[in-house]
Amino acid sequence: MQRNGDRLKLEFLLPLCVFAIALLFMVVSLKNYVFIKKSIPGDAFFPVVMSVFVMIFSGISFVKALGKPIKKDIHLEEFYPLLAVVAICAARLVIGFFPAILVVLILWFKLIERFSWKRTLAISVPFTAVMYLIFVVWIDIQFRSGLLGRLLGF
Amino acid sequence: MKKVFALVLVAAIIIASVMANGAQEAASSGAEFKPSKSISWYCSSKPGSAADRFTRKVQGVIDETGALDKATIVVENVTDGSGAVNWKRMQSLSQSDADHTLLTLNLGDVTTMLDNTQFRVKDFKVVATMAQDKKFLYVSKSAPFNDFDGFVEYLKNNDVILGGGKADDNVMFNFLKQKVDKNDHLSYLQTGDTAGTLQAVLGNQVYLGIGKLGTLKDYLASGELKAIVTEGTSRMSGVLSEVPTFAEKGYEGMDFIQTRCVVAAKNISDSAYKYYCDAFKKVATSQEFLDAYVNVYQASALDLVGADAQAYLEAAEKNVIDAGISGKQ
Amino acid sequence: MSALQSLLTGFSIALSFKGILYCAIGAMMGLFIGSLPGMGAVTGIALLLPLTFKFEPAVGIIMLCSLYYANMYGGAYSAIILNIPGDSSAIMTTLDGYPMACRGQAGKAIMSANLASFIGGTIGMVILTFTGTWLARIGLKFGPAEMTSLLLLAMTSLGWAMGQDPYKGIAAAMFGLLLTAVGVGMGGSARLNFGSYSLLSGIPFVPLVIGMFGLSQVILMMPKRHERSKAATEVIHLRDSRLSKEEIKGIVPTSVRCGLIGTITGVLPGAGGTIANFFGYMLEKRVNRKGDRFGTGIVEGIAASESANNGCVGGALAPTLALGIPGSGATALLLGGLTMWGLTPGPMLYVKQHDLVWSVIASLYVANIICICVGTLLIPIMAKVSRVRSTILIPLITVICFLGAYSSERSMYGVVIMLAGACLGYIFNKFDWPSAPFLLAFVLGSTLEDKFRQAIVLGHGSPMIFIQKPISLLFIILLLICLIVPAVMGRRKKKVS
Repeated sequence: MQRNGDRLKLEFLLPLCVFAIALLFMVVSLKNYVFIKKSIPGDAFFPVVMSVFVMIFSGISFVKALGKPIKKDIHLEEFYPLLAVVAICAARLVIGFFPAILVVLILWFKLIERFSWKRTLAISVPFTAVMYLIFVVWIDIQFRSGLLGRLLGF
Repeated sequence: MKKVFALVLVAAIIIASVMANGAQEAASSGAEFKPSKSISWYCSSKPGSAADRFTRKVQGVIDETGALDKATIVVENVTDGSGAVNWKRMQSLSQSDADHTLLTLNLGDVTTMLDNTQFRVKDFKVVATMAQDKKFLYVSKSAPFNDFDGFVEYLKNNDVILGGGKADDNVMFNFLKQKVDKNDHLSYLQTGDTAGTLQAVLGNQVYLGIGKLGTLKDYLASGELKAIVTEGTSRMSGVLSEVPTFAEKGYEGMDFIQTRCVVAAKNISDSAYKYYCDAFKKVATSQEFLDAYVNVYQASALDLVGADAQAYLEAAEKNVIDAGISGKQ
Repeated sequence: MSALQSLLTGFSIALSFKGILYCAIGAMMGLFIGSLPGMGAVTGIALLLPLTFKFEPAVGIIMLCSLYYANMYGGAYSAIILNIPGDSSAIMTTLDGYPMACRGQAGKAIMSANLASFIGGTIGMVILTFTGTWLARIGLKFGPAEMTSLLLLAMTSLGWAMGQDPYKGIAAAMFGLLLTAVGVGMGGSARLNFGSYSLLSGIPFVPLVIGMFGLSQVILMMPKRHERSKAATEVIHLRDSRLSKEEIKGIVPTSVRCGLIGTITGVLPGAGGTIANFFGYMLEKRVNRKGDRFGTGIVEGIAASESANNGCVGGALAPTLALGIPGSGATALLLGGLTMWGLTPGPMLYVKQHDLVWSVIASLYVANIICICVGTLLIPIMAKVSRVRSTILIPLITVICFLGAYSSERSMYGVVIMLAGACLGYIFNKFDWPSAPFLLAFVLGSTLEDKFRQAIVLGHGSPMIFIQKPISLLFIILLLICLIVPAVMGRRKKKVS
């Protein structure tokens, strides 16, 4: 998605989204909660006041940003870490957390970085084992086993 | 290739159904329950909080007395949604998980549940109600009144700000507002917790607060603070033995006492439920529990289990609903 | 018995073989957990508190307190090496620590952090030792009105972090404040949770920071992961981390000043390490002769941040031990833990449990020494991490972020928030919106609303309370000065030019 010399003129997008979120918060707050009751600020007071400020300053940023391109490039590979997290979240439902982490790390090093099997396993396996030792054995965080684990009785 | 795939699929389905049936049979066979894996015990408050202390103290007593046949108990502090996530999770446990999962549910949590979710006490099976932490109103030395009658008299013509913490303290404020504050002079400073209220009182921001004995006993003993009225129908002991209750002063209905309960999922098997009820009865009546929790935190012991505990908690919930006294402020 | 005599009594217990052993165990556990991205003091104590219950009371308490102290120490390491603060109280450390690490000066940065933490922590402990009870009572004078004015004053200091376009910076800060409204309102009912049970407890800060600082940083590293700087190829020895005389001359007075600021901030109700860290950095930026270079990677910047958050430990413990009122989120957990062990913090603690209390205070001094020694020895190892190739580091940091976010909330909710934070941090970067004002405003937001509302209640609905209270009035005047003076000076400069 890198676009050299032809940048997307979308700089207005973020201030617009922030403006919209603030507007939503303000409308929901005014509709559902009390603004001021007997001179005491209610639940709507703080979100409404903050929303007004957000709308003012994001509105100014929006106007200034119209017609301007985003200054920084967007690269497809930047999304790989997010995809890795999503993959772990999905895989853990079936094979559990740490097997999912191990599988994702192996896939990363093999498919994205194109390391050799030796190097891939030399990094992934000990790292996953150390994380397991720290988080499960030592700190005692409970990580639910996946479908496979439950079927196998873990 | 297709045949092989089909065979594997059929085998998997058969294995899965056999395992599922096996589990069901074990559950419905009426055989005596014994924990077959570690027991997950959820606490909706952060480590070190009052609910967490209760949970861990009881866990300690269970480990000491072997009440759950030396099963490993894993306490998990899952605070998402102020407990709502735990309540939701308890509704969708498998049979096996339901037999191995407990939850600490306080009466204050029930108020939050009523205010913010669809869940009710009937959506759980109450295993035991084990202890109560009574609250009381207290004043600082600089207060213009030093007993409850003086407070009521003062409130008729003067503004008073009451300091309180969370949901169960809000209930006391709502009660006072409805029953005592005839001229709309009482307002509420919600500080978030007992320590925050204490700070507001000691710092002379307010001179009236809601507190619990566990946190304030040294202040009461030294005379820096004075309790003027307690909730419930009977007086507390020790340093609060001279302090009247709301009921004695003619204000019935302030019985919203923070009750520490242990509940299980609604779909827990009968044998597992009986097992836990028997075990927690032993724990609640043990000297170890009195020494580890009741005496240390100046609580009151309560040892209702099973149907009695369920009825108690549901009645308390009904009181809150009927009286219109919620944790909302 | 004088404070010094009592402290010596405490040392006689803390310096026993068991005392030193468990203090060391607690300190190293705290250092390690504190250095994990996002797993700072509050999360670290929450995770490790149950582990201390396995030990007997006296050593359990010593272990718990040294663990708490060392958490503050350890937060700097991931801030410097990975640009992911170990805790919210190390956010400001990233601003100078990470640039130094990028220049191959990771060892020096960590050494600066260690030294500043040691000095700041010592100042906090000395003040706690000799004036703890008195200081706690002074802290009570800071009511909601005073705290609101102080927090508003702090918000004006965000101006430096606004970047080139102040409108974006202000919008980001206000957006951060707005998001703190999600959760439960002041009356206890759900607010802006849009029907989600998870959002009832609000947007948790730790996974948000892990996402915005950690995972988004990793995302931005992806296109450049094959580049390798010269600094990254050099071997780092302990001797390379030595600070020059000039650097030490810069660090020591900065650490003393910010240690004092941190200690005083710690005493304030609900302030904590994050606000101490922020105040120390902001104030030092104004008074230090190198203030205009803060944020570019100088040792004074690291020293300001780290000495303040370590000084805060002593300050926060003062009201916790003397009054039973926790000075911060971490001390609230600590208070619960101390109560589990049978300690009853409050006015009678120093009388009824004299030896135990003073052994706790003495153990903090011991923990301080252990932390600086261990931290110094770990420098070559930690500096090596900064030299690991990005191609290897990126997926590993991603996994650490995932586990840290999950562990902080003990559920996938933490991971979801982390992902949202990462997306937000990435988007902010692409659109040139600064993240620091957003996060700092987010940290201050819920406290600001709480205190503001409480102040209005105390003022019986009138905002005049902010002027009627003398301390609050002082902060309001300072606030106006901070707003008006730069504007007037700016206009004068324009006129002259």
